[in-house]
Amino acid sequence: MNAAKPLDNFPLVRSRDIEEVREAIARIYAKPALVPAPGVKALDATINNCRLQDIDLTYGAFGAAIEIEFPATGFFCQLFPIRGKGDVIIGSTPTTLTAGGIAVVPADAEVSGKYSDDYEYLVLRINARKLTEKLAALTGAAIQEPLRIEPQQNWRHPASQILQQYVPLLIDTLSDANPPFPEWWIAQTEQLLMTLFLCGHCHNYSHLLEQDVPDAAARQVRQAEEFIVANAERAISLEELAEVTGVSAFSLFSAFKKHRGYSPMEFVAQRRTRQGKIR
Amino acid sequence: MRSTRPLDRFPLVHTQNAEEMCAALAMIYAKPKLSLEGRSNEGDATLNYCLMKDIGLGYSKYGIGARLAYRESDFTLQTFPLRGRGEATLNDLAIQVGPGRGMTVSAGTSYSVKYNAGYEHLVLVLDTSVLTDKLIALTGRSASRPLRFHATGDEVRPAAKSLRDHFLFLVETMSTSAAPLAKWVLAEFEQTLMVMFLHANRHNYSHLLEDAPADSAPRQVRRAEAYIEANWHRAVILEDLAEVSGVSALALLRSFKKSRGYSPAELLNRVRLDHARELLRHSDAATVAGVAATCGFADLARFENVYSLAFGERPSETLRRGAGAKPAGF
Repeated sequence: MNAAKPLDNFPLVRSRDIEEVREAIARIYAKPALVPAPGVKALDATINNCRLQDIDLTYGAFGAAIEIEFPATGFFCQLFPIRGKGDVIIGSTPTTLTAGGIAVVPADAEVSGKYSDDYEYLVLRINARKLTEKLAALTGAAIQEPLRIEPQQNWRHPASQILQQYVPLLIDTLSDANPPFPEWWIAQTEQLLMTLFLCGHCHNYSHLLEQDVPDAAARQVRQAEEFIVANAERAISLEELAEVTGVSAFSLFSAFKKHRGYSPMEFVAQRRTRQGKIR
Repeated sequence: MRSTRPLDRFPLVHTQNAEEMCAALAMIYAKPKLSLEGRSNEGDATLNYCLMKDIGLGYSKYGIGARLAYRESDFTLQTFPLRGRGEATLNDLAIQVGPGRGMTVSAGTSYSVKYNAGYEHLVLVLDTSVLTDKLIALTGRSASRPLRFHATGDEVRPAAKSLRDHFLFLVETMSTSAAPLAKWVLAEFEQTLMVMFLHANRHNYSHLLEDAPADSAPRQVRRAEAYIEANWHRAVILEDLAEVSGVSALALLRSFKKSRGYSPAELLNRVRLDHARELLRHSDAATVAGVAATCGFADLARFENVYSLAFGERPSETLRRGAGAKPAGF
């Protein structure tokens, strides 16, 4: 059972001793109430913790059935169970954690739960104050009311999926890395994680992040391209493309320039030469 | 059976014709001279290209053996071969490319490539001026010479692997995501790839990234550095630096020592030596004495001395090696 675990190059604790594990967790979060299940004498805990700046990533396994209670820490946490099972209450919401599942912990929520002896997990933790600053920077809005992220989320939403796929990739990268990382590398990685986190969850400021549907333009470009390909045998005017896509000729032109780097008419010309040659 | 290729959502051209392929490449990068081996209707060339804001993600395959020759362009790029093999020639260097072994092409570099029929690659294209701005922002120093990358690197280095993984992740996400990515996410990925590109590839400013911790140096230090970078060929005295940075000479000296660990004079020396090395390597008419004078070293013996200390070889040796790399006729 000595297979490499995620983030093994950032060991926090390897211990059978309950108090030692408690103390180790207290060094990174807050001291938890940690109680082994009846009959359990010792743990076989492995906890790894990679701290960037305002974000950290943790891998943990306790090696015994336990109950554990965390106070609120001022961090948003995303939990990625990778083995075993946990029955937890996040704030006041009961949740079952199983491999492949996911959960988010609001910054002001306590988490308590019982975990199976084979439970293993990854956690992404983001400083709530820094995340709020990032939100303000992205949207340009003044953030008065605290950022609230409800535990129930649509985890199948594409924006959430990107975060779910990205975190394991980053953990892989970190697990292969030789720390220390350059500060500017860390800073950029944190910016990306915070952005993915804010866009990947539904929260009380989501509407600010959605107001500008970014890829409407790209959709028009694709529509126009399909039309051009389908009608490559005849002359097509920019106005006709504008009509098909339902936007002005000018915005279609700018959308092409922006998303493709060339104009719609250049694309038309290119398709037409091609058509001519094939025949 | 129609398999999906990377970035199929962003088709640029699908053709059997070399000229069309050239026209398509010219739209996104630079027009190459392309020749296909065998009859042209045997080929099945595909070019997909997703242009973000300052970077582009491309996929290409030719379907038959192909030779391409590119003139200099303004872009910086790195290829990530997926299948097949090829050979590239750039800066008189022959590079074998294939899965796990791509190459990096600096702006202003002409190069040629030869791919076998099964060759396919992904390519990351970066706007060099934006990349340079990013470098300046990261190091807090101005970049007076163009950013030049080593053509090949060690791909198993964690930094290189990390760039590759992030790049492939973005390609995969752009190729398959059920909904468009939020513009914030796109912008942040672009930033991340640029930072990782600068970290993963060796270049003529790598040393700045290595010794510059994300710059917390006071503004006066950064101002003085910018002034030195811009005026290295002139006589720069401490009083000039104090004036541009708006603090006293003594205060400037102290904050330099504190945030950088060296003095402004040491930096000026280093910048001049770097320029001298560039000139010795690449200038056709260079002489050691001429270069020393151009770079502000009045005393030739002292120049030879500090140069040898900095680079481990005498200036005349650099000059001699540089001569070998210059085109014939010089």
